[in-house]
Amino acid sequence: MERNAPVNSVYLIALAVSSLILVIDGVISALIFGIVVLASFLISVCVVSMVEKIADKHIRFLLFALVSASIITILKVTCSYIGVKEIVLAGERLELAILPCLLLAIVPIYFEQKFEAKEFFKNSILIAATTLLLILLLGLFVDVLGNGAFFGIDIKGFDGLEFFTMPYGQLMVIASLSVLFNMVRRAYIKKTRRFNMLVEKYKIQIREIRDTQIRVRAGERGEYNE
Amino acid sequence: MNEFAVIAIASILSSNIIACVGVGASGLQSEKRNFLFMLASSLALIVSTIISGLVCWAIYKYLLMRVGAEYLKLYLVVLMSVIMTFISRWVLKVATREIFFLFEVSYSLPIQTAINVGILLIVDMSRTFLNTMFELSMFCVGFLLVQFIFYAMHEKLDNGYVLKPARNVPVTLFMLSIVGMILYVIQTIF
Repeated sequence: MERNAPVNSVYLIALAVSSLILVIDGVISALIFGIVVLASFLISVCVVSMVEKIADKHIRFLLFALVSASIITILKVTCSYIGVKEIVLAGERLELAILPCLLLAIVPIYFEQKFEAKEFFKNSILIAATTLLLILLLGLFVDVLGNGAFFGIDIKGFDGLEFFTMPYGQLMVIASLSVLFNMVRRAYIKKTRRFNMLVEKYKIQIREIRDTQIRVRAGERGEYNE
Repeated sequence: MNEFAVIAIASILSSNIIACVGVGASGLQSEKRNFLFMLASSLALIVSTIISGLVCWAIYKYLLMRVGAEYLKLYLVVLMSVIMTFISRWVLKVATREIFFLFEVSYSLPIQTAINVGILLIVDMSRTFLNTMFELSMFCVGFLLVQFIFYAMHEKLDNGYVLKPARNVPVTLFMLSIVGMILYVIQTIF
């Protein structure tokens, strides 16, 4: 069966981040969850890429889910042994980090029509980095606007707004950020398309000049033969 | 009875967080206007969630908790969710070709697996069988309600004027935020 046309990856990233709104309450928790999502996604993608040519896309997704579950379980157990309060607290609900991983896996597993290692890893790293950026920005908004603090240090004269600490406020932030990300993506695609069109145009011109030169040379040779 | 009412309200409201993934995901689907597909896939998801929840509860309560291996809950949940989603995919394949085709081209398998995993992770499995099953079923009711509400809203929004970068998922998230605010007000009143 043919695959569907690739959808906008910013949508997937926004959905992936929105599944974390129950657990993000500041920059530190955002950083911990972001790193866990980044690590488990990239490691699982690397493992799945090994069976790219021998397994069906659904089987690859199954493998991805099991590998990322194993990584998050290991990280969760590790978190409980680290003596830092923030890490221990984040570790208690670390299993929810699997949701963004599962959603992000749609891009490398279902979108890639043809496997090319360079493109595959480039896209995966780009998606993971954008997700981390969005999670961090969300954490920063929650911390500064919601808690009235910056990395745990209180901002003088500002107690924060409750709206930004609630799930609906965080959804609003994610939606606004995804619009911003989408605008950047559209501008980049437009620029790339324009550049590709220019390259194609020059290619056609060069081909035409070469054809004309060949014709002229052939004509000259013909005159010489006569 | 009071305990059940509290569980029902909390589950229906908090399921919206997971539902937002499902509702937002419908924006990714090429055939999102097909009501029959939405109904069939939602029911398949609900049945698979309840069955996998039942099995997960039994294994968690009688095996993992007894041997002190609660940290394996995630692994168990993912495994059961994937298996049940594969079974529901197979059922759809056998039942109707048309819906199965839409299921395949709409990335429904990964999306359903993610939603199933999300619901099972939020549900508290250390409770009694009746409480866990009730919470699970209320989650499913909440999910179905949100799906129905947003199905009608998608129609309106797709036909309305929305800025290009804000179309699809961002506008759905804005809507969910507003609905969340309304639900929060209702929750604080009661």
